[in-house]
Amino acid sequence: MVRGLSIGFLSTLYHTSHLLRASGGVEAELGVTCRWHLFGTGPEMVRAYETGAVDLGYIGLPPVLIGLSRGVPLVCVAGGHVEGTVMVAGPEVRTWEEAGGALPFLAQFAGGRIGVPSAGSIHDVILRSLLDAHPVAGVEVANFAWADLIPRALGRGDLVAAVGTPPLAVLCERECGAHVVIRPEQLWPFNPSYGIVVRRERLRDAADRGVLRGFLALHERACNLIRQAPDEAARATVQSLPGVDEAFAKRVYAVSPRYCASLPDAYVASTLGFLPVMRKAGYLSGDAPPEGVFDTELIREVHPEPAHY
Amino acid sequence: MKVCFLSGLKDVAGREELDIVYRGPLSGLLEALCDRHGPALRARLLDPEHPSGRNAFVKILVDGRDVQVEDPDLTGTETVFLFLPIAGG
Repeated sequence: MVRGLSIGFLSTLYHTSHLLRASGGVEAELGVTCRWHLFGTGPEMVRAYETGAVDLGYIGLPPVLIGLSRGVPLVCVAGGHVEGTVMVAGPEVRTWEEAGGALPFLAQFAGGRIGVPSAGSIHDVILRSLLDAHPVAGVEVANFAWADLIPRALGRGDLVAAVGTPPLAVLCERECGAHVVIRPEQLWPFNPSYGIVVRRERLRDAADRGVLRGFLALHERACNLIRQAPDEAARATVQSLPGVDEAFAKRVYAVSPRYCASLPDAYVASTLGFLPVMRKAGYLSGDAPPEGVFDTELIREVHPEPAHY
Repeated sequence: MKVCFLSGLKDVAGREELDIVYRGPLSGLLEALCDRHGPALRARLLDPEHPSGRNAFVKILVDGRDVQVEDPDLTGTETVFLFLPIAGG
C-alpha cells in the first residue's frame, strides 16, 4: 500500500511547493494523499521531522545538519535552488562594493541589530559566519521566527539591515525603500538555499521510493518552469500564495535565478562547508555525519543531465 | 491593544497599525476588524468553509505566540500581528 505524504514547506515563493500545491499534481499524478504544513523557518520544520509530523520537506541544509547531529533520521534527496540568502538595508547604506571591502561595509552597522530568520536557519548561519570572519563591535543578530515581521522592524529603525530570502528582500524594497547591499552570490557562493529532504525510512520501501521518484520528477519539472518560463510560473504560484501578485513573484525569481533539482558535487561541497562554521557557532554539539546527508540515487535517475544552477 | 497588519493584509486594511479597545476572544477581534475594514480584509482573513473559520494561510501572533488554531481570550493589552506569510524562511 502506498503511504501518503506529509509535506513541510516554507512561504519562500520560488520553492516548487507552491506550484505543486496550486496544480494538485502530486495527488493527481502520483495518486497519493498529501498533507501540506506551513512553517516559519527551517529549524521549526526539523522539530516536526523529529516527531514524525513531516516526512518530506523543503528546507535549507544547515537546519538539516543540526537535525542529523541530534539523531533525526534525515536525508537530502534533491536540490532546488542555490544562493537564496541576500542582505538588504536602507537607501543610506552603501553596498559591499561601494564600501570597498568587508570591514568598512560592516562598520556601517556598528551598534545596530541585523534581522534574520531563526537561529540555525541558513540565513542565520551565513550572517554569523560573516560577522565571525569580520568582527565589528556592537553588531547584534536579531532572530525572527517569522521573516514577515522583519520589514516593519527595518522600516521603524529597529534594525539596521536584514538578511534572508529574495522574497524578504523584495518585500523590504517595496515596504521600506531598502536596497540589496550584498548580492546572493557574494554572501556564500553556491550555498544550498533549499533541498528536498525526507525522513530516511521513506527510502527503504520500494513503493515509497516510487512515490519519491515521482515527486522528484514533478519537482524537477517545476524547477524548469521557474527557470525557463518565469511569467507562467508566477501566474501559477500566486494561485497558492494569497496576498502575492505576479509582479512580486517575477521580481523575486529574478533576484537569484539559480533553480534546479539536481545535486551536483558543488552543492554537496557547499553544504558540507557549513559544518566547521556551525560547529564554531555552537549549533553542532558533535560531529555531524557527513556521509548521511545526501542520497543522490533517485535524483540522478530523474535528472541525469548536468546541473542547471 | 495594538493590531499590526503585515504582508498581504496591510494593503486591504489600508494601514499597518491600529490601536483598538477590545476584550474577548480572538475570533471576536477578527470579526470586529473585518467589520471595520471591509470585505477585502474579510476575504483574506476569514474562510467560512475552514473548520477554524479562518483562512488557513493567515498567521496570527499574539504577543509573539502563534495562535493559528486557537481562540485565546484577549485582555486588551496584547500586540496582535496578522499576516499572510510571503517573506520565506
